[in-house]
Amino acid sequence: MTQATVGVHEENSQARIVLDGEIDLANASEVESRIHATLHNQLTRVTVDLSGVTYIDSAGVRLLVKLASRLKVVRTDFRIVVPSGSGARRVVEITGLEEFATDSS
Amino acid sequence: MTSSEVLSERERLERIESLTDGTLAYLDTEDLQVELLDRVCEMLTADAAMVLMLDQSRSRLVTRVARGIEEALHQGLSLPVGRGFAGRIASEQAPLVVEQPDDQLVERVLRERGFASLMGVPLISEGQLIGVLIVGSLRLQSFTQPDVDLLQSAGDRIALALQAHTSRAQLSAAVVLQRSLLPPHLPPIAGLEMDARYVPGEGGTVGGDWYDVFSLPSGHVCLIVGDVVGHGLPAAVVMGRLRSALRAYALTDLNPDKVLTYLDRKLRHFETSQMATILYGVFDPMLDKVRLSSAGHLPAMLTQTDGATIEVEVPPDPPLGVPLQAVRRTTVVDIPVGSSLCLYTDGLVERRGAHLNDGLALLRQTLVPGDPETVCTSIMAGMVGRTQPRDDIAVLVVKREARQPVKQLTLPAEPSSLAAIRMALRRWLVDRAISPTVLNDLLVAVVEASANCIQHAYGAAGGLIDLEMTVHGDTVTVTVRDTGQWRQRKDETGGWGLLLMEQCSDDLQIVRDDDGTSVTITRQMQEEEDS
Repeated sequence: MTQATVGVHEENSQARIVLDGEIDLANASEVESRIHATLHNQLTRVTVDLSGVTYIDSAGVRLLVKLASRLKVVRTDFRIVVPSGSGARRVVEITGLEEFATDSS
Repeated sequence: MTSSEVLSERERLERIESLTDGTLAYLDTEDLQVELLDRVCEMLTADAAMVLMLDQSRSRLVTRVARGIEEALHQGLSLPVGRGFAGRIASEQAPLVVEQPDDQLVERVLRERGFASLMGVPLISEGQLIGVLIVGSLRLQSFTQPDVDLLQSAGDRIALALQAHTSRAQLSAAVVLQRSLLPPHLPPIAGLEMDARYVPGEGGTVGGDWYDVFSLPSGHVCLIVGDVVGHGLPAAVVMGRLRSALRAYALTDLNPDKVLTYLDRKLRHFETSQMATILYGVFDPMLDKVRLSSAGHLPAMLTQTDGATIEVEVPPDPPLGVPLQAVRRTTVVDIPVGSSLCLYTDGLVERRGAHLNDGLALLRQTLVPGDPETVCTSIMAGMVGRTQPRDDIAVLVVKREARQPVKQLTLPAEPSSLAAIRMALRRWLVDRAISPTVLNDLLVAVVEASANCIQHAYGAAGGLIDLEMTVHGDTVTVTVRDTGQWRQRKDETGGWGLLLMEQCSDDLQIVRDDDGTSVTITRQMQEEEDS
């Protein structure tokens, strides 16, 4: 079974969501609801850190895109931390999420 | 019937016949006891009779059969050895007769019935007390020596039947337990081939030997061979508990030394005076290394691809259950592809009058490269042959698959299979010259194709995904097949899946027909040097 952990660090109305492990069809909706549970209306920036993600595919992309569009509506800044050369970076690049991506926070 | 000291010869014969009647042989243990109690009551003109059995702790007598005083059974009457009427018979292991018993002597249930005369005899089997047989009469009567003899004869008959019943029940319970804990099929684990054997010892007695193999959610693979000291049902029960506890600890800690430390603590606290030896190994997810910890167990054997077999040197720590605060250790051992590990219990290598080293040397010679099923068969043939093993034997052979150009995999079309597909692909490609980027691309392309199959190929009834992975020269080809009828997705949430499949493969072929869909992904193992 695919396993991932979701860690949340919040400071000055900025949330940093640290994902570790693997994300695919099997656990994407669980990861998504755990992320949603941490989001509240006072946030000015949300950063999703994929540095510890060893596998991600379209199921993970789908949740990131949904998150990005939702945050755009509520005018909250969105960033994805994903190291260059990683498998996650490649998936982020292929699926056009690169505009949100940075190497490090 | 009698209160005279002298019985006629005819009466004596009648009594004996009544207790040895051939038809009694056809009754089961329960019915036999009921029938004997009824006959005894009739001959002694008594009103009640019951059998009490010594419990496991040997400190209490528990009602097993009661006639004329059924409430003793319904209330679960249990009496301490050494006190009261039944307790005294047990502690003195001698017959006892009392008339008009005083309140101190008689247990409450007997008192409430108001017995005026009581008589009891011990039930002895193989020189050991196993219970007590008592009769009671509401009317005052003097039980005589012939009456005591009669009751003792009935008691002997019951003791014999009870003993036979107990050993039969324990033997079959131990066999059932052992079988339920040693499943005939080991779990399929990508990248490993394995097989195991268990044989009971002399007289078909099962013992506390066991083997176990399982995967953890992290992809680590655990293997165990253990041996609980002792035989029969008690050893099998402790084995079952250790097996469950070890599985639970394995889920929470990946360090074999830690898991054995927890297990030792558990055994010493809850199963005092039990001892066990265990060899416990944890494979890394890529299966190239195994971390081993030994609790006083014999060494594993590693059969290498060149044909040589060596003892795996793991310094043994004390067995589990001994009162030593051992600092347990873990040894890391490399397991090259194609080599295999053999774990076993002492019954395999210990022979009457032979030195242990000779047994180990013979095992080393017997172990040759091969598939685990063949290896297990030749181990048993070479080590056991035609002699009945004295002790029970457990053998587990786990082989790291040799590099295979073609690999097939069939899994249920469920989301939980995706992690297994990635693990299988990673293990299959682990020692190939493949760049990390290409490996990630292949994983993404294959999992996307599989996820499509899971979501669209089958209805609610579900189905299977077939994967065929091939390496030809520098090219990897993976075909993902289903036999379902493709259904267009209900909500079209972006075409990222197809996009990723296209971008992550050099060539992508999707063929859909009446038999189902097949997706073929082709990829060079090394990236083009054009960046």
